[in-house]
Amino acid sequence: MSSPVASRAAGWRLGPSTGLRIRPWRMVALALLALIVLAPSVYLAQTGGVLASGYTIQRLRAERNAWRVRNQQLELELAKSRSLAWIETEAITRLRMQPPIDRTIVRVDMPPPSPVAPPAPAVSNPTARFTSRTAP
Amino acid sequence: MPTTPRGARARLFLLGALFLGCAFVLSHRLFTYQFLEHDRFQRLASEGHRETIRIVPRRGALLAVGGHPLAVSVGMDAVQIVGKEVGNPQRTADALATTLQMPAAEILTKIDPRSDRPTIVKQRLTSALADQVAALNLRGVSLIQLPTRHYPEGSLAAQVLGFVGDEHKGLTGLELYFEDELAGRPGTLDTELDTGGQEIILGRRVLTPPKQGSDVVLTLDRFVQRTAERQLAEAVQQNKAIGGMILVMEPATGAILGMASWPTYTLSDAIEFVPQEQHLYKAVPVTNQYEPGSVMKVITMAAGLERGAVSPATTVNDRGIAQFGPTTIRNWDLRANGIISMTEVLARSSNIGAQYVADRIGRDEFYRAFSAFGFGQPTGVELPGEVPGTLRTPATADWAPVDLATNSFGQGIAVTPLQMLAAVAAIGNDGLLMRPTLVREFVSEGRVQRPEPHTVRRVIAPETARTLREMMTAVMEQPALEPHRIAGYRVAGKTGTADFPTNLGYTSGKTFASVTALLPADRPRLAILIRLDAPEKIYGGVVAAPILKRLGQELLAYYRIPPAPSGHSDGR
Repeated sequence: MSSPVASRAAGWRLGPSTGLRIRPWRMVALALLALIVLAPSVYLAQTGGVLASGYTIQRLRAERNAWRVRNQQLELELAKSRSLAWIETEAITRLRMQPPIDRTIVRVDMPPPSPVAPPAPAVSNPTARFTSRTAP
Repeated sequence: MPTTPRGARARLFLLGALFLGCAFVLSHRLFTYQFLEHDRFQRLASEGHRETIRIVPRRGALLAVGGHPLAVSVGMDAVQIVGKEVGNPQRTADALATTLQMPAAEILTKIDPRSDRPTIVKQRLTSALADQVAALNLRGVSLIQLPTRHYPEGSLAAQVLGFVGDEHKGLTGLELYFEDELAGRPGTLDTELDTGGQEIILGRRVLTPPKQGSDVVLTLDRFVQRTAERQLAEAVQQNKAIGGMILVMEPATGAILGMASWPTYTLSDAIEFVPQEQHLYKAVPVTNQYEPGSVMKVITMAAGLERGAVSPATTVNDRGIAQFGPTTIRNWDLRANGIISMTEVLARSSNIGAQYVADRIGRDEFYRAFSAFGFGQPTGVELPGEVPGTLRTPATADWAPVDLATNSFGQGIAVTPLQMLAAVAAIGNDGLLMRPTLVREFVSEGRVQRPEPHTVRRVIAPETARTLREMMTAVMEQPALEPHRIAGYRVAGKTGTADFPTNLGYTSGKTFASVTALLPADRPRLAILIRLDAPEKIYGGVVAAPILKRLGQELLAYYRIPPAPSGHSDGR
């Protein structure tokens, strides 16, 4: 087994069986060559990837804008359906409603609120809570 | 034949010189392109693939109280055709006609086979329809998205809102007044495009973002506006009038809750400017002035009470006639009322009584009071084309002493309906005159800016205002107006009837019949002005008071204003 100094001076072995030795400067040159050959490919691959992603983003952005516009159009339709003119037309023509002829205002004297709230009545039948409390 | 060394050398020299010359020319051109004309070629190259795209900002919306949209902008597709690119015009027109529900002949007229400029065939397409057009895949036919203005409430408050033109810029009303706020500021995108017209992602990109238009939340309440418009339309028809208006204001803030006028125009999404209807596009309550008639007696009385010239119990001997030089003044019914109090002066609408008050005040103080109430100057409301009205004073050349008398009962003076309402609303606001406003807040990119109500000045003391409201309540509770009372509520008001002025004098038989009122009288929440133009029955008490009753009932119920506990007072 040779020392590191001896090894550097003599070059690196490629393998114990081949016996082929490569000089360090050749090794560096090979690495540089590999870098020169690979770098553009990597750069091109990356650029291509970024471009493809960019176009995808553009497409998705356009799609998002289109949906936004559609959403706005639907909101507009909603606003038109909520307009007083539309509601009046629907009430009069479809539901056959009429404006009130006269109004009666009933003033109710409310008792002052009691300090302690009474306990809630027990509900034996669970469906009872959805039924009217008034007598039929 | 053998070549001599000399001949070969000469040819070599010639060839060398030729190459050298070529190299020199090439070097010269290279130097020229790279250094001398570098900028020009750089520019030419940029023009080929660089583009500055204008980013159109969203136009702000006009919203009613509660955020209900009155005018909104939405992008909608439009179909455009480049005639030069169309292969078969007839087939293209036929295909589009079926989808767009348009006559093929009309589409054909828009296809110019020699033109390379796009022509819009149809705008405002729904998304579904746009998809159908795209699916046709016709040569030369494409879709473009354009901003369009929509009015979801239809013609509600048409004259107040106004509309925009083809370039999406406001032409009338609030659309014009708030053009800068609504329009926003366009942005730009300076970028590089590929041959397909798509943006190059790794290219140089300079984005100047647009400033989106501000939303303007108005003080208009759509229910109040709708109710006012409906009541007005019915009243105009019933009374065979040629027009009219109803204004509703909040006395404490000057906020205009409703501003209806008739005749008006139809505000549709695709409105077109019609020159013959130009007079209808104006917000008449601020652009047109009129003689208010007896409604003005309230202001005269306010000035008299405030200056101590009269009190509600002060009496005047109304003989039914008064002489001012060559001019004779009479009461509206040509009758003498005898000795009457100031409250009765208002209730009986005595011209002689009003003239007496003006005389007691004195001309300088009288006009000072009228100016303080805002007459003769614009109110400053946010509508285009507001006029100041006409108030002649002793300082103006055409003033005559008889003007003091006639002005006291609303003749010889011209005001806008909004000025009149603002002045009466000041009485309802305990003497503080507020600037009428249509704006509740601006909303810009998430930030809310709410302008504070603007107090113009104090015009009368709170005590004077309360006294005057009592007198105005007596006017509305007189027996003649009993059928038009609102059950359970006290209303302070004054009716008015003014002749139509023309270039040849006053038109007999045609009047402005009006009423102004404060509801409820003791603590007014609403100030209302109702005016009918040239109704069949000419008097304000006859035609305007019934409208006040119907409108008042609806608005009091809408705002849940409780009736007075005793039926006569709201329990202040």
